[in-house]
Amino acid sequence: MAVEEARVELVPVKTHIVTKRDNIVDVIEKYAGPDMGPDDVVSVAESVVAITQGRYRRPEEMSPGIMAHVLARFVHRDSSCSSACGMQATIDEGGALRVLFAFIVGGIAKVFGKSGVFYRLAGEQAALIDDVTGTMPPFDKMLVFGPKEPVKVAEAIKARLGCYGAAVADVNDLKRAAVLGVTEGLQPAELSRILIHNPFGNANQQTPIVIIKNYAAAAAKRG
Amino acid sequence: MLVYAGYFLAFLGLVFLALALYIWRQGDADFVFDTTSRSQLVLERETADEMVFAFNVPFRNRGSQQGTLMDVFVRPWIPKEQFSAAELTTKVTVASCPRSDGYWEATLFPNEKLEHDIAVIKLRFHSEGGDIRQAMAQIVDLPLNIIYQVVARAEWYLSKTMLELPMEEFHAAMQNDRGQK
Repeated sequence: MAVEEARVELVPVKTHIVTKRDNIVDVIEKYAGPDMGPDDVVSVAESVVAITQGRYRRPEEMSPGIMAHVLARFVHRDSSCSSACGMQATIDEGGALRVLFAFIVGGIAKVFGKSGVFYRLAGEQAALIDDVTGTMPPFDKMLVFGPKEPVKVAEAIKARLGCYGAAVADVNDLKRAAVLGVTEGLQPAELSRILIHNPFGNANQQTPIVIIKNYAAAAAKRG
Repeated sequence: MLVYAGYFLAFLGLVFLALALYIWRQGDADFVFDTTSRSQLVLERETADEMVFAFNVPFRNRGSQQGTLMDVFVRPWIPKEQFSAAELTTKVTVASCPRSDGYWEATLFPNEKLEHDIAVIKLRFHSEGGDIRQAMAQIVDLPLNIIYQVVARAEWYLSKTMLELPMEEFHAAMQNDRGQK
């Protein structure tokens, strides 16, 4: 059931700099709760959820092995795996054998013109790791991983706020939106389409929460 | 059996050599702070007990890979045995995206750049005695280390570049400022 985009309103919500001391549900309740209604869906940036889970590391805390050093050399320079630390983070999350397998198969697939196979095989975290500079200060100097259990996080948000639904999303300015976890009844593809223009803004804007106002009402009307 | 083992070892050796050649050929980021092309000191701000000087140092990534400057800071070598009339603190920022809080935001710089970015270095002298001009009359030649942390293809590392600010340049900056007032 497609949602009429003309009927929904995207409201970015600014927060303080979130750290591992924060509970993401508390943060959303504090900043977005007053504006939230039973027809609304709240979406939160996946990197911020990961930060509240303590899922980040400094390059200085890592000791890239030979495998990380070598494999990183074969990855496109714009990838988070193109640095030894980024590749080591991928290995730590996905496992050395799995990443090596993904590298070999991905390399063969690339020869035949098929991209992205490495990230699909290396584990769900491979595509989610943000290398240094990928997040706003003070996390600009850290590798930020993807969040754990995004579906549970979304469910916890919905349970606390009483909204129509919740989602954890990975969105950027390159017209790429991936929904990592949603509450029951929401369609990830639909939400990706709504969030494609990155209403979260850039990192310095500090708006990791976006309320999709009137989502339920618009969907019902369409249906 | 030994022959096959030998062949296998030779194969591994060739693979290792090929990898080494590939990595060598690929290269990495290589940042250089061109201290010889730095600007002259300018007295940017003065109060009764404080002076802030500023100067620019161009830098670029001349390597074959893009790289991140994770952190850049300045470490002056001026022990109290040599100069104790004022306390010195420093800040570094990028001219294209300046910050006033002394925090160096990790920034990715493209490779093989011909144009330089500019590091703006500020030196703040604070006199406990309350007369900064009197304190700065005692300034000596000031060695400075520009220390920077790089993250690129290889593991992160620290490097540094040294420059020296002659005392005459401080005096000239103070004189120029007085002349403009």
